[in-house]
Amino acid sequence: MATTLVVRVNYVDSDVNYGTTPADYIALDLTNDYLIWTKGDSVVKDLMTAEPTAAQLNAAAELIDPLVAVTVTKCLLMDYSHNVSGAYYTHLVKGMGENKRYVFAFDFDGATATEPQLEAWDTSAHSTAVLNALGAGTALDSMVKGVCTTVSLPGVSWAGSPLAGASNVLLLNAGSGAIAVATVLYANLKIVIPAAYATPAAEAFVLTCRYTYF
Amino acid sequence: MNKPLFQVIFEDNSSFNGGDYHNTKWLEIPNDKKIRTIFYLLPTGDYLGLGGFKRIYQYIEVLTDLNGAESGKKKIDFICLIVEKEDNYIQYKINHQDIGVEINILSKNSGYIEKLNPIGWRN
Repeated sequence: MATTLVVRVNYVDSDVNYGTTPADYIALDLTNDYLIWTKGDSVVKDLMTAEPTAAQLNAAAELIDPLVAVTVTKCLLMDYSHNVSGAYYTHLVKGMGENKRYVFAFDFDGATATEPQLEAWDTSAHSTAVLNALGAGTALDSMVKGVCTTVSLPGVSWAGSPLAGASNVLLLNAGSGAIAVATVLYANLKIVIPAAYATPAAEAFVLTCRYTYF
Repeated sequence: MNKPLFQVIFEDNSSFNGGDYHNTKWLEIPNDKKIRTIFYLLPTGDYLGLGGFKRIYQYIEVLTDLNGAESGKKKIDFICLIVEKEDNYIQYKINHQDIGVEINILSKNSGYIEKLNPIGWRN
């Protein structure tokens, strides 16, 4: 049977893996749930009791700094079913951008033929990567940074690999190739906005997991 | 009745039929028999016939978006067949986006080949 993927985020303790503490993770309903990258404020925050509006998200957006690069402060899971630990629509993804290993989990229920990888695209057509957030046509300038943490911590102040299009991707098994059995692979992600970036934008880039099965 | 994803003809004239995209049955192809010919289904409904190889490998590559308009769908990008010849490998990428077949020649010491999961090879 085809290998299937479940994506999970850690919302409790990003020092523990899914295998030992599954209760610390929320599985994404990929049809309805989504990630919110935000500075956050008194409204857009952990444990919201309603889905945030576009106006609320705009008000809580990260601001471009004229002098220093800014790492987007928070990543929130917008949980459409709002049935985890109470009736909350948002949960803070713990450890995002930090020196933490178990943040984003990619749970495969069987073997793959090649190494799974994470990609970032403009849209679900997977044909272009020219959004400002993805480097505006220069993949190495992508603001979306990823690091594979399947085998180790990312390190203090990790830089990560810029994600954009087909050429700048994140291998999820640390470059070791295909997975032989059901396995959970891990990554940490962050968005870093360059200092004095000239083009403010609200952009919904698409994160894509590419994997294979027999 | 749906066409099988592939049909394998062995040297002893016996055969094996594949399943569908969800359950290809590739790993159920007996490895103790030598394949003479394989016919693999193309998106057009035609079959691609291959033979005269030492070994053959198959996988399906899919994309799953974590957000956006098609979030959560498992979209087939292409099917990959790799045949091992005497001096090299030939890769056939059956594209499911524009229904073309891309053919690449890979060297015997290809790092890409070395990182494939070895359970997928069939004789």
